[in-house]
Amino acid sequence: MVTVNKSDAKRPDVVAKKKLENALRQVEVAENVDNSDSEDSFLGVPDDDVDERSDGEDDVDLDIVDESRVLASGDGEDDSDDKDEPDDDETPSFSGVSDTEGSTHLTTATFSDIESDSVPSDLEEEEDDAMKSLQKAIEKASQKPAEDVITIRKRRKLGLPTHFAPTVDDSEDVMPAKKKVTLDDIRAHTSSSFGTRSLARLDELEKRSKGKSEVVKSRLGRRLEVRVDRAAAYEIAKEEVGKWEDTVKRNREAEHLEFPLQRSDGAATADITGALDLGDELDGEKLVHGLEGREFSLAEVAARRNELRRMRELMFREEMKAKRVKRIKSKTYRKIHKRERERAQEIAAQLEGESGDENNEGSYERLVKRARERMELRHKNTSDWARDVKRMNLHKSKGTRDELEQMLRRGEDLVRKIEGDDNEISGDDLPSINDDEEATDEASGIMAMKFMREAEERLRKRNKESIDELRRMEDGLDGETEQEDTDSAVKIINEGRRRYAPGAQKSKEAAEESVEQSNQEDDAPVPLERKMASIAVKDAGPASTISKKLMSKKGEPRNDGPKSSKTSNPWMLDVEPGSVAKGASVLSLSKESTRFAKTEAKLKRSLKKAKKAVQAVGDGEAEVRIDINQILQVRDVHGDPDAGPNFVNVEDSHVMMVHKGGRRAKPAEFQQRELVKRAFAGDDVVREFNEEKQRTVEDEGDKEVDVTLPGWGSWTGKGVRKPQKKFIQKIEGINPKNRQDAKLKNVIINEKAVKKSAKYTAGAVPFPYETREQYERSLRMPIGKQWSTQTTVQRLTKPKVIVKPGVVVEPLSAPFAT
Amino acid sequence: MSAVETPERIGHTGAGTTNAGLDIYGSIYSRTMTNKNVRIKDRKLRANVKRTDQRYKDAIRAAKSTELLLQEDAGFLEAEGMEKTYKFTQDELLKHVDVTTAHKGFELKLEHFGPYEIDYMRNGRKLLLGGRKGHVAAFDFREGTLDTELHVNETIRDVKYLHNDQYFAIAQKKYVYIYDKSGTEIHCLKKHIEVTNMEFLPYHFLLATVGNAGWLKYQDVSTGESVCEFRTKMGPTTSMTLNPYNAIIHLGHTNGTVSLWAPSTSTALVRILSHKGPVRAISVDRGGRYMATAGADCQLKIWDVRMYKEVHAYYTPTPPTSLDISDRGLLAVSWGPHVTIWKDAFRTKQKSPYMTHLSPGSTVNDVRFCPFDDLLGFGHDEGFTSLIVPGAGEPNFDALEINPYETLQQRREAEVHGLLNKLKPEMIALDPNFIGNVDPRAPDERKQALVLETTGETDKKINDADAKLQPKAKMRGKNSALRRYLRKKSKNVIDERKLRVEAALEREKGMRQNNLKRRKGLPVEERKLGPALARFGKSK
Repeated sequence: MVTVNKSDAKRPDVVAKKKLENALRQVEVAENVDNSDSEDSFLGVPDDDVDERSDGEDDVDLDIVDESRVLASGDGEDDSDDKDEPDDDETPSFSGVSDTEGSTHLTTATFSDIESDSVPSDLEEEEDDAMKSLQKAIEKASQKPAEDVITIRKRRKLGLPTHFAPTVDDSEDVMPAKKKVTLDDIRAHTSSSFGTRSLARLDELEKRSKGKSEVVKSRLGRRLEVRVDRAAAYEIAKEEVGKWEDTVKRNREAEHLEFPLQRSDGAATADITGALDLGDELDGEKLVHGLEGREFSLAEVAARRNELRRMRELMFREEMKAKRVKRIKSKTYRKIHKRERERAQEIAAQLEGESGDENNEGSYERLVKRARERMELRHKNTSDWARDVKRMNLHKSKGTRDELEQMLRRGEDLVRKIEGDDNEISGDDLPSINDDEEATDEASGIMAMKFMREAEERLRKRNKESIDELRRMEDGLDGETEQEDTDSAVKIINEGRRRYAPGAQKSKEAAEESVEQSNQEDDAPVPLERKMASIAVKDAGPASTISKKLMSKKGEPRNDGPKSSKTSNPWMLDVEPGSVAKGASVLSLSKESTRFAKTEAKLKRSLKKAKKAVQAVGDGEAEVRIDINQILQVRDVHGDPDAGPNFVNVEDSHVMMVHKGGRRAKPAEFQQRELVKRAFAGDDVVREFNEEKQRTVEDEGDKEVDVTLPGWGSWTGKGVRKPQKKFIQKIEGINPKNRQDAKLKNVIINEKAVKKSAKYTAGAVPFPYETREQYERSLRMPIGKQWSTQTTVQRLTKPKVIVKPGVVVEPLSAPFAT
Repeated sequence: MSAVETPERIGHTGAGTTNAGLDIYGSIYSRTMTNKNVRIKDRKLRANVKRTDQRYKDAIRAAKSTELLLQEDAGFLEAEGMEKTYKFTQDELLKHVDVTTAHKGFELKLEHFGPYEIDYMRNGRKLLLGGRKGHVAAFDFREGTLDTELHVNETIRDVKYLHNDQYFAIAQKKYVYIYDKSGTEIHCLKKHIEVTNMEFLPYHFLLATVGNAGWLKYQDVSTGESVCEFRTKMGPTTSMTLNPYNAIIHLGHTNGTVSLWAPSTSTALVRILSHKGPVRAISVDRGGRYMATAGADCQLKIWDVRMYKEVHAYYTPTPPTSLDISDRGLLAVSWGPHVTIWKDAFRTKQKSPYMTHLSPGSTVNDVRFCPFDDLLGFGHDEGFTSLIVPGAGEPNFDALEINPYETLQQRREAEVHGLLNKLKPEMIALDPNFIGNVDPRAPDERKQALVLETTGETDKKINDADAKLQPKAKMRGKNSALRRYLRKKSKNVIDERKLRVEAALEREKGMRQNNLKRRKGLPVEERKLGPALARFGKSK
């Protein structure tokens, strides 16, 4: 407050003068006021009138008037402060000034606050009142919560003047509400005839209105009042709007907005269920109780009843519809509706999933599962064509049946491929063979195949187990079955499908090996011979008497193809060297061949006779091998007769097109290359190319252009000064060091290339991005369906705002209110 | 025993790698880019960038997950023990493949009009043969149905299918001709003289030709316009190929250089000295990474086309005549009567070829892999032969892109789509991803380039100083509320307001003129009576 006084003290006289003028004008207005006007208007309204008038006349005037008013009110507060401390009786300088000119007091009828300041006598008289108001103010201040007090800083924020009031509440209290200005007060200060005349008129007015109403307490200046109101309203509004902040933020940050935002079905279902609950107890006593308890109004009850009625009606209709639908016998209809229902379920499941954490994984897994299903179904009987074939009995014709079978076979193949293991064919359907000896003895044809044998083995094992278990049960020991399960090679993952866990596989192999070993135990010292013999015997046919187990082991790879060679490929181990041996008449062993192979080759020689016998027997497999030999022989004859046992002959290296240090280069070839060399001896293309590169570098590099005007400065004769330097313009090009091809040999890259592409590039980094990299990274992912999956394209092209068609988009209701 | 992995995998329902072990950034779907994680200050932008990245990752993951649907694996020949895959003959192979595939390995004896140039249609359905002495045949080799067969009665140097099987171009003795499916001559391109090699840019609908004169010419086959013509200045062009990745044309010249061309630039983008003799054949792999060149100096070189560095060099006993790289990266080289096929020849230098073939007594002229099939066709002196090359073709096709089984309707739709999505010739550049990127040039330089593009003036340089001197032609204040009112008002209706407005305009005009006169010091006609009395004066 002090500062305000200081700043205004510079021109107190001017202000006072203006105040006086204003006051006079006010009085005039007051005089013109009609009798019908209430005291309210008499006291409050003239402000505006004055403003309007002064608008027309002088703007500066108005400003000052306003200011004086403000100052006056400020003084009032000041005084009230003064009243706190009785010893500080001095009036502020400004009010002092106004005191000196007694005539101003005339005007204070309109400015009760000014008036109150400027009358020291009143001050004394009403000291008690002031004290009371002060106390009240203090009480109020202590009662009010801190946030209700608008501090100066806040005022500044709101754009309100801060210099006249520390708090709004104070000003309210300072406002001399209790002090009712009477005409007597005014009269005491009037002296001029003009004043008396107007006072007389006021008297009259007073008399007339005395009977009707009490004097209304005076108010702050309207403008101030409005301002204060606004500030308060702003606070409230701010708080109210602040509640929306989260919602707005969320919506603003959302990638997509789908309207209606708040899903209505939740609320709707809640409504329905609520209504249904009530519906059950409708007309019952409970409802009445409920109503009694909550004291519903009549209208509410009616509304409730109407709603219930509506719900019942809807239910009834639904029921009728269901009945009607139930009667429909059309299969197509059923089919379509089933699909719809499933879709709805799926969506529901999805929604459910979304609420949970494992949404993505779950849906992805489901998708994968579905894809797998579909893949497996692809070549099943389920296709339309297959069904048609069946329906129309087309499968009786051979061609169609073959196709059908082929399809099924392909389907099986695919499934097997997906499973990743051809050998996994469960042997459940096989006839059970209980006796070991019988099985081994009778194995022939399909039963001789490996998988059949394995299946048998498994079956046997299981039987044995079950027998064991039964025995154990008899003994009363059945608690250990589980352990048995885990130990066994076969691990059951789910019913119907049999898989080998890696560990289990090993154990199984080990088991088999041990069995094998037990069979071979006596053969251990001479395994190779034994092996060779076994091959020979195997090739000899099923009539052999050697252990069947060994034979099956050896015989399997032929039927199996390359797949089975992965784990333990007996073909690779045993038969390969054997095959080498067979081809020995035309092939010799390479240098790299191992010692093992060599010794084996020796052994082979000793077994030559046996093998010849094998070939004499000649089953299909042996024939194939012979074929290979023949082919190889033919090759050798063609290629290089004197190359002898060397497999990789000259023709091969010729075919290879790979430089091999010229060691193998034959004279003919050498001649050819020499010829080529000679053919291109004349044109030194490398030199030419380098020259061209040099030219290009110079062309595209910096250039100096002589722009000297011809003839300029070329005067000659005595006393002529030497002509100035030449004018040389330098045109910047590309520095040879910075060229892309600076370090590349035999390459010229055009640095001036791609001039025409300017229109397909951006001139600058577009707005939200800060760097080129950020922007270009955003372009990295093409949106089109050619490059992405359907779902990706849909996600990338999903619009920001989606409005469900045909739905009324309600304005957002506050979620926090409910 | 030779093992063709599984018989049904040969043929186009056969093969496609599933790189199961790769992380998403290593997969073929990722588009590598500098992944600088510079902290972005702006929160909104940061969120935006993060979201974009996430989308990108999701997209890659989704694309990768669709590999599940590709049931077919690529299968190559596998040798066991001492066997070598290059020892397997076609006869042996035929025994082990299924019947349909075996049918595709065939030989056509056409002894009179060879040697033959060949071209497969983009979807691998149709085959076009052109004998040097004028015999042309277009047919579906699987079905065995002939589209057309004709004799042009003059030399044929090259044949090329256009965007579908409906049209094909033939480079004849003097001009290039375009025929339709039934063999009717539709166009004669008289600007393309003595063409030796042709390429078709399917996404740009451009036919690029080059000939003995050394002019590279681009012709838009959808509009018929000649797009551009460039003089190579390197004499007769001996070979030509299209980089399928960025649509750049690679030309091989007699001086051993290979030059790279785009319609946007009149000079070669890159020149590479590859051989010491004429470049006989060029081929670029599907991904645009490797280029194979074969020269008359009996060299076969593999280049990294992105780095312009030589990777490997092989030699051929006699100069190669033709090269081709299959979709799955097999490289076929023909030299003399031999065809040699190389597997993985780009990354590592191979010691031995994958397959070899000999067609005794007839020089191989042109080798081409059949798209989406494990076939290699080659035209030679005595006709055409189709070899079975397991693992050559891409087994999994994208039916939205190129559909080997397209119906009539699909073919038509694809044509319309292709035309709607036709790319502009200027979009061809070494880096095809440049579109939309920020121009690295300075703004004024770029502006100049833009002006040049729009005006089409190539030589004129815009001088900044001159531009500054030019006074700006400003025409201000022509519009006003009154004028606008008059303009909007229909001409034939005369009302009070219109009259008033006209009068006001007139008055304003007079005042303006007076002002002008005053400024120039000319005598101004003053109203003698003044504003108050003027109304009583003589009316105009």
